[in-house]
Amino acid sequence: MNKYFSLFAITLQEIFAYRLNMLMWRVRQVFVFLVPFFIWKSVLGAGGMIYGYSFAAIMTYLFGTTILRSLVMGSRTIDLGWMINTGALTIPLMRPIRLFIFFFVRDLADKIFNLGFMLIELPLIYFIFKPPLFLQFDPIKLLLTAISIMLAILIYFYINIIFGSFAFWSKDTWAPRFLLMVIMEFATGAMFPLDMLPQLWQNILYCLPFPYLLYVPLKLYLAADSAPLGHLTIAIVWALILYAITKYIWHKGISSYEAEGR
Amino acid sequence: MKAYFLVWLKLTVQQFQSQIANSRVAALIFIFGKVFRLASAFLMLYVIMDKAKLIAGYTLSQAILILALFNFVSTVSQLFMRGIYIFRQKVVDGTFDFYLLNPLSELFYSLFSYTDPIDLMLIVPYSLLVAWAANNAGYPLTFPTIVILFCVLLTVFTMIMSWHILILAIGVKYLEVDNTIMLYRDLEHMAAMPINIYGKFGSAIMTYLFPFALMATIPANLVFKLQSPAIMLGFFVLAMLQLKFALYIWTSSLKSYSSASS
Repeated sequence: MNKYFSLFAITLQEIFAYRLNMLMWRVRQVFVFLVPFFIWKSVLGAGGMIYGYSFAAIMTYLFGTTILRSLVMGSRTIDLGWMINTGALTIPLMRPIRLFIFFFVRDLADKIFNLGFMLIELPLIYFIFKPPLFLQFDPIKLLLTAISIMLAILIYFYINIIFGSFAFWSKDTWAPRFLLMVIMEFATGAMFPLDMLPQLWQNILYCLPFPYLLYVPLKLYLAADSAPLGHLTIAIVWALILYAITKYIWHKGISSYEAEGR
Repeated sequence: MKAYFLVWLKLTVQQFQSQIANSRVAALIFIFGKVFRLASAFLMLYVIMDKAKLIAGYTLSQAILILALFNFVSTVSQLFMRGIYIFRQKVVDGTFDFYLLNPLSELFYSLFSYTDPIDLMLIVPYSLLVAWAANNAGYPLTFPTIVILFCVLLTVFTMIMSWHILILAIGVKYLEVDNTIMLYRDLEHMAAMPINIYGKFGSAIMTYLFPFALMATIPANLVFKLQSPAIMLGFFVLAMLQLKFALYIWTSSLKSYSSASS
């Protein structure tokens, strides 16, 4: 267990080694919040509702997506493609560690780093812009939200491993990852809440794993999910399916790994 | 000037050949990803304005023109200034030293040497989209309007180039380019919406410090005849001052370059 704690600490040290880089990354995360904030302020700032969302509800959604992005989508596993292509994967493969845990611990360090900074930045944003927020106190709703976030973390982790594993067969891992990022920006509900779309679109999106990364956890927090248990069940099913795909692809990939570049 | 053009052409053709030879599927994925991203931005605008009707005083069809103009200008500027995304690597691996030894300007190689052929292909449909959006808004593009838009494009390109040169200068001094240029890109996305939504202070910064207002809102206002083309004289002077300042900072940064990597 100690070795994984060491790995966790080393990953954090790596992040803090390039301080200007780290600072710029954090500034970027703040600006990711500001653009939609101003858009919604211009539309709902004077009062009223759109698709059942008041300014307070949409601001809570926006704050929530900002926090969840850090927590769910903070990841070091995105380096996997690069590690395979350069042969850097050989080093952790030779060590007495379980590789999936190695990646997961590195992911956790990244998430803790992001969350730590978020807890400083979001109060600052709150005190500067004073957006109205909705706070959830119902323990059942909070528990469901927490379970949903844990499932989201697992789903995103497996998706990252699957996309990174493409590097076993192709040098071009950036193109599929770019496409994944673009699709996720829309299909996770990061751009706008998915219930603003027509019902048919929502039904299609609910069949994909993406809404379970941001949208469903936030709807659970806002107590606005019409089928919380049903959505949690689908999230569990997706986590299991992606786990099986990850295991299969990884097994196939590692047997064709040539440690090229080392 | 002719030498610069010929070298740029040669490098672009090589880049195109490399992409066709090595990553045809990746190129298709990139095109699909870019079109999907644009479509989802339009969808977001439609979803919001389907209920809100006006955003900062602009109708849906006017806001669509602003988004189309932003997309076009952003693509054109990125198309030519792609080199910035790999500049850090060039400094780290010592390639930048070869740029300095070359008879052509090191700035030219650093900024313009990696033109993206995919973006080059997308320019035609994107410009047609602008023409359609203007027509849809009730302001079909006439010859004088196209001349004015061309002047805006040249001016805003100069301002965008100045910002890119400043970021390259940071790269020479501190090796930090990647997150800085991505921060610039995040900020740039604010230009996709009418800049009035960012308040007086925000829109003043986006107009006089950054080139963002000039990317979409101001040219759209010129198409809608909400502003006089005479304002372009002031922006032209501003663009020249920004370029002069950026070149001064670039020259200063080169004086502190130690060539430590090679």
